[in-house]
Amino acid sequence: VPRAGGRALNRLLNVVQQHPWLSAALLVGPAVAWVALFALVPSVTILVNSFLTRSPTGGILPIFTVSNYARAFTRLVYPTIIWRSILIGIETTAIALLIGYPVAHYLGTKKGRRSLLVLLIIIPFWTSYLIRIFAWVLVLMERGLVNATLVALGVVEEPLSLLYTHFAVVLAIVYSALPFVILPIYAVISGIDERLTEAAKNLGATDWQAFREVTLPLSLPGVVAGGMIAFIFSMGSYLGPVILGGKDVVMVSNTIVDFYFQFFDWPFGSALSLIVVVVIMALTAAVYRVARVDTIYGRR
Amino acid sequence: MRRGALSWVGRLLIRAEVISVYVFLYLPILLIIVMSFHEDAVMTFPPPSISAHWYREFLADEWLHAAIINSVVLGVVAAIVSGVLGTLCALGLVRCRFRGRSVVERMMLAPMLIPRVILGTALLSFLHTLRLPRGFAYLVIGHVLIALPYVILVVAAALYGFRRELEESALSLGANEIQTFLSVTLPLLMPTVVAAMLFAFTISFQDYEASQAWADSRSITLPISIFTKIREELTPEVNVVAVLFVLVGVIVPSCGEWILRRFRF
Repeated sequence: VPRAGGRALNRLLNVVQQHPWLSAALLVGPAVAWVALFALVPSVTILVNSFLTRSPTGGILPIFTVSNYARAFTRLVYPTIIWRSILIGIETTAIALLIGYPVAHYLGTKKGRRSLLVLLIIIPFWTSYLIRIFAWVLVLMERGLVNATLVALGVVEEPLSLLYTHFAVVLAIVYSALPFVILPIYAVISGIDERLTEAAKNLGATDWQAFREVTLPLSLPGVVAGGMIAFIFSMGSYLGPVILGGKDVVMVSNTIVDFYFQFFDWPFGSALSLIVVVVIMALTAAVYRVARVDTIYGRR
Repeated sequence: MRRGALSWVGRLLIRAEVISVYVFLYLPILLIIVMSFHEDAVMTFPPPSISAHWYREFLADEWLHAAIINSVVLGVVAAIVSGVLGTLCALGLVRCRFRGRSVVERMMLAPMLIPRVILGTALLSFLHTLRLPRGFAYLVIGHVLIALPYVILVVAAALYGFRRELEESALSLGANEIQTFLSVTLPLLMPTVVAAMLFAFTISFQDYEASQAWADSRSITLPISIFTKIREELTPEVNVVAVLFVLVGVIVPSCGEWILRRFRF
């Protein structure tokens, strides 16, 4: 029996070998099916749900309505929350790029061993986002690290209230998003031929001019890729606002969770989710025009 | 002369900025470790006294132990499934030429580019319409989905750097493509796959934002139980669990990175 099985397997493998398209389908198929079934079909589900009606008991009635979108765009709180999420996304991405770029440049142009330094940038990324957000409670709380230091130095007499502020949320999201911007920019800069900057300097350019005219433009694909991932991550943040934002800094993910699990209004939660997905799809479509998918997959 | 002085100052500033970013990245993590030895239930900095009290509380906390077991089992299952699916997919994307390849490439990144909360509620909405109850099955399906893009990126990057000469010599010695794959490609690729699975385990072990939509009361994961503690009874025990997360987040992926470097081909 095993031999017959082996022969059948061999025959199957021969068929696969003769039809390259079939082998591609067998290799890629299972993963594609998984993503299609558990990410794309669910997107269609929330698209459908967003046009249905919430039943009084918290279920979904199959009655078509556009009232979920009408509510999302006309009641002032919801456009404000969506807009705030986009603005916090832009703000944190800009700050992360500003403080992350010099690090990426330093690592990308450093001579000699740098793998440990790069690893030290990656490691915090692997610690739970929940813990990276929570750590800032200990830094910013009333009797936390910052206030203890400021009071001890005599800068302030009374502890500042730093928790549950816009500042706390932005700071903690920037902290968590930094590896997302540093790593792609580092990858691009370390791939730039250093003879290009040397040539610029031989022709009389200063360090700054060589950077501005050669390195910076060539590193832009990394900036765009890292900025996109950081923006999506920041804009969709749930834990940042829920742990550090209190009642004043609510972002769209918090509202989605509230509508799903507190108000049991899935249709409206779906409408909000879909608005976020559309914003992200528009952004990624624009970015894919500038930075090719190839660079994300590490093809040379 | 003046130009040299300027770039000397500039280099010093960049060096200072780089050092402050590293301090910024590690200061909160060090603070968690320090505060996990805080003795009193109400936390203040600096800790008035140091003790291992909350480590003992943690060791006696059976609710957390159940959550740890759930998280580890879930992480292992998600790592194996996403490791197998992702490796096959990366092989197909790198080695095969077929129509729609770039569409597939983009599609496989989607779980990484959709916010976790939305991945969570969307999958919940879909599986709920199939009348499947929330719980461990949701978590397995979802965690494989979350980890898949990372596995594919790690394995695909390795395959692009693969030295084809080894396979070509096997082929020229008379092995067919299948034999070559099984006896040359797969053994060489195996360490990368193991590393990718370690990353997948870490991603699964650490997720809160999507998992909150998938777990039920019997399949509570460690991030969910610690989130509940942060909101309801914040004591230094939370810091002890946070230290555990830091340890898993440092040790498991570092093993992965070490394997990737050690077995680079």
